[in-house]
Amino acid sequence: MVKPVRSFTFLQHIRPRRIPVAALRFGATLCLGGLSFLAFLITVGTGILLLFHYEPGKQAYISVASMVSLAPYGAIIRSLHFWAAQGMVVTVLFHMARVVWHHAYRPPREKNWVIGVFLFLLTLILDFSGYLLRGDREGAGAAEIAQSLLRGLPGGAGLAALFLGSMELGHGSSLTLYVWHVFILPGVLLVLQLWHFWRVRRDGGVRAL
Amino acid sequence: MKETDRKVFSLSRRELLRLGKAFFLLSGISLVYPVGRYISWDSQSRSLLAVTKKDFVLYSEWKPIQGSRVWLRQGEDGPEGLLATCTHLGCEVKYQAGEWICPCHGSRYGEDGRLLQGPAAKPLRRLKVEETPDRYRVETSVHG
Repeated sequence: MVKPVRSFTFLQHIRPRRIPVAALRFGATLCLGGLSFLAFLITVGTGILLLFHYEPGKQAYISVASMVSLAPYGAIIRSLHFWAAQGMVVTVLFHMARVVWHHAYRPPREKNWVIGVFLFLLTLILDFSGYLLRGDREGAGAAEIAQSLLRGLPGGAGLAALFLGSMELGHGSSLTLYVWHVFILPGVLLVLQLWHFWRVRRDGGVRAL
Repeated sequence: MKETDRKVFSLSRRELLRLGKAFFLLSGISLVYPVGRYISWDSQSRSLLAVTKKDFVLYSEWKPIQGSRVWLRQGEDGPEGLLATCTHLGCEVKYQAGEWICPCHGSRYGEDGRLLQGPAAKPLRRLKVEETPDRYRVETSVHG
């Protein structure tokens, strides 16, 4: 048995022992995947802070508005959450364009492209659900359309009930959607991201961040 | 000359990492205060309770506003308000025969809220009542 020299072996293990020089070139990644993950971390950090003052349901808009205008540093925390989320959608799109440009979706890395497509979809759904949870008129309008679109699908009424819950007319926020937005979807997104990064590293790319 | 210039700005990889760690540590510490202020902000801290004069007629005896611990009465210099929360541990005090009695540990207060018997150490909290032409407004800030 060889004893570990230091106790931070897990952290050391995260870092690969060697990285191909070509993979470190800025042009190889344009840092777009890393920026997406950075935006994700900011969104999670500020999102946890928003949990302290946000109330899903009918009180959503009042809680958001009073948090932004009255709570100390509330405005900057919510702005960071919003802009990091919007930024994540943009960097994810550019990241996908870069992968297509470099033909990086081709075998042997095609499975990671598929994981990436799911990450992309989750990012969009999270962004959209946040838009509804704001609880303002725009979000309520979008919720109406989302409900109508879902109900147009076979079995869509069930899907609408599952994801949107019971929303009152004129309110985009519901407890059901809130649980998906703050817990289930980000959790799935995180697990898939770690899998994505693990595959990137195994395929000889750079580690994320 | 060139040689010294290079010396001034040269950093080893390890020194750069150490600087980076110090930077993250400092940013983390500087976030403690604003985040603490943000989290401890109380959205109910300046709430107002209002009743219309039509629904709520004031007497000289204390009378509760339905669904709250706020009691109002007509005092000599206008309406008076009282919060029926024991100042010991916060149980709701009952009004009985001109006395406020706490069911939890037996604190007693006089009709005007003055302390008669412990374990509570402070009188009941009196609330400011504002009279408008058609209603009474009571400020029930949590940190009063």
